Amino acid sequence: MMRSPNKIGRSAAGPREGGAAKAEASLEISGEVLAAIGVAVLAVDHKGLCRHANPAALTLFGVSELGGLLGKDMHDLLHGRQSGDPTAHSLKECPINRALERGAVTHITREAVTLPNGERIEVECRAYPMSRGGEISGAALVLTDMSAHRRVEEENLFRKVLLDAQSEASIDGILVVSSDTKMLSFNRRFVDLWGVPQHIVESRSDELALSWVLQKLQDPQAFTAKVAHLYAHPDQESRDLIALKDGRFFDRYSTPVKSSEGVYYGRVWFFRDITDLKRAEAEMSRLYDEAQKAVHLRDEFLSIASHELRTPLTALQLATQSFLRRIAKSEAPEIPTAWAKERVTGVLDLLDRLSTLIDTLLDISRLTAGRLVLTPETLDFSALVREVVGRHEEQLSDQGCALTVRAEHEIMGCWDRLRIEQILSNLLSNASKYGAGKPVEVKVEHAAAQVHLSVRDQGIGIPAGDRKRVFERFERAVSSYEYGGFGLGLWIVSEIVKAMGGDINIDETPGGGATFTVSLPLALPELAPEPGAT
Amino acid sequence: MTTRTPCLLLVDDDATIRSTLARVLAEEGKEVALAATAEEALALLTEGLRPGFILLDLTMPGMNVADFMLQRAELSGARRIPVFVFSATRGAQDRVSSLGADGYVPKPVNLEDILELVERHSG
Repeated sequence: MMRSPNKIGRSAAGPREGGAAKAEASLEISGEVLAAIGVAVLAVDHKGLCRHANPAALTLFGVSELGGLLGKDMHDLLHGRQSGDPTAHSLKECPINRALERGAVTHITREAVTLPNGERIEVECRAYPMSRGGEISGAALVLTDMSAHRRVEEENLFRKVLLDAQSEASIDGILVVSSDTKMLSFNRRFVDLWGVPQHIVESRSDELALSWVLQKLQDPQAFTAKVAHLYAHPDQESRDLIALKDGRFFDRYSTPVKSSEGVYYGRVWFFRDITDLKRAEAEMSRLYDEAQKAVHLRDEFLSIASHELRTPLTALQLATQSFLRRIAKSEAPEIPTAWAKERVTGVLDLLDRLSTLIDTLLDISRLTAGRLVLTPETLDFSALVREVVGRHEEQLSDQGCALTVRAEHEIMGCWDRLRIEQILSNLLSNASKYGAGKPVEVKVEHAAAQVHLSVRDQGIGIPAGDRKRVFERFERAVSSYEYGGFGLGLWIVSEIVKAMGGDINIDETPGGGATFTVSLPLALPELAPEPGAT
Repeated sequence: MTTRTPCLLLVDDDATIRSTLARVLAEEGKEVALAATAEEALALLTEGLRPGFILLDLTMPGMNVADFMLQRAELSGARRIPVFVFSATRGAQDRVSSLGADGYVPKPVNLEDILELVERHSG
């Protein structure tokens, strides 16, 4: 039985029996093939001793020459029998024995090989019986180094874990859909963003998931149209904004998934919640509009202010230049005193008008900057009103306004005298301006720990829709061409009233006209009420 | 119809400006016609007033200056009277040509400049 098993090896001693050239050639080709392939092949004799090995087998066992393997018991090398490896096969199960004793091609088995350097590698082993003259003369072993496979498997697993982690850590909700529009995978963020219920997540049903998403959208038709379009055009990328019914906004991005050869596998959808960004954008846009409006108002104000200041200046300049011409032309005694007095009085009136305009400008500046300072003083509100009205009697009478005052009862409290005067003066000017030729009534009342001052005219009135607006800066219910001035009188009044802790309202005067009512607490804010207040 | 020929017609809604200009020019021996609105000015022109020139405020209640200019052009006798825009509003100068006016007099104005205009457009 000691026949050579080396019929598969080129390095074997050659043909044993007067071999035909044809058979020899075929052996030689087999040898070349074995030498060339990367799979380890070994021939063992009937005792399981190595009789030949190809270069790949030398490499696998870590030996440099065939001599390192020849004559070695393959049981020892493969099963680690000598090392006492508890996982080693019993000899009965050994693939070599199965081949040698039963002529059976073994199932693939996994074997642990200990290399000369002590390293253990895992190999896959197939054993094929070889027979001669009807007797099993040996076996061919084919070994595959599984550690390389294991490394690739581990690497693949690592990559998958890494990709999953990347997907799960993404701030985007990610959905991967196959080329036939089946849902392949999605991350946790996708589920959270859309609030997909657990039973749908577990079902992994495309239909349920889509209907869940659609009922959340403001415009489901547009959403499905986009999806249909992209499935019809697999090459296209897309990015758009979708609005949800709950007020959120998602940035939707979709891109096709293709192999390097361009095979279309499906599509990835990314959803990112950009609600905060949209809100910030809207807020920025609102602030920009506000700033633009403020700039426009400022320009308009500068234009009105300049116009209003230049008008009295024009008269003042003409009057003084004329005065100068008269002096230059005449000898001093020739200037009549009465004429000079009248001219100087006129100049002083114009200076008064300019001074009032400048005070108004300063008030606007203080109120805008929130720097209005109030000076508290204990006083009788009714007496103050009567005094201020008295000062305006002439102006109102010039405008043809008959004046009635009802402020008989003493109302003691703590207010800023000058600011109360300013409020009433403004309201009286307003009444005479818009209610010229009609009666004006001023009334003071004390009720519910407040003093109520009303100024009622019978002028053009203010439509209900404009009553809030007239207290805004540069707002009037009628065009500024019709009535001069800054258009700021009522705004100033309203701001001063607010600073005093009160409020101002407009009602329609029965029979036409407007009634302004200022309600003030009996003391300025942050000041204790006067004990003697009645 | 009596034809009055004052040296100028001042159209301005500010009473102080009207009275001051009228008074200072009267002291110079010049007669000034006054109107508080464009409507009043048109009425005076229709009645036959023929001033040396018209000094026209830009911002007045009632009829706007563009309409005034159009209606003045309809009055055959008033068509050739020079019109100077009289305004305290910045940028008013730019409106002179679009209104078909002859020039611009800014507020405040020098009395000397008014007197020079009077001189130039008298008789």
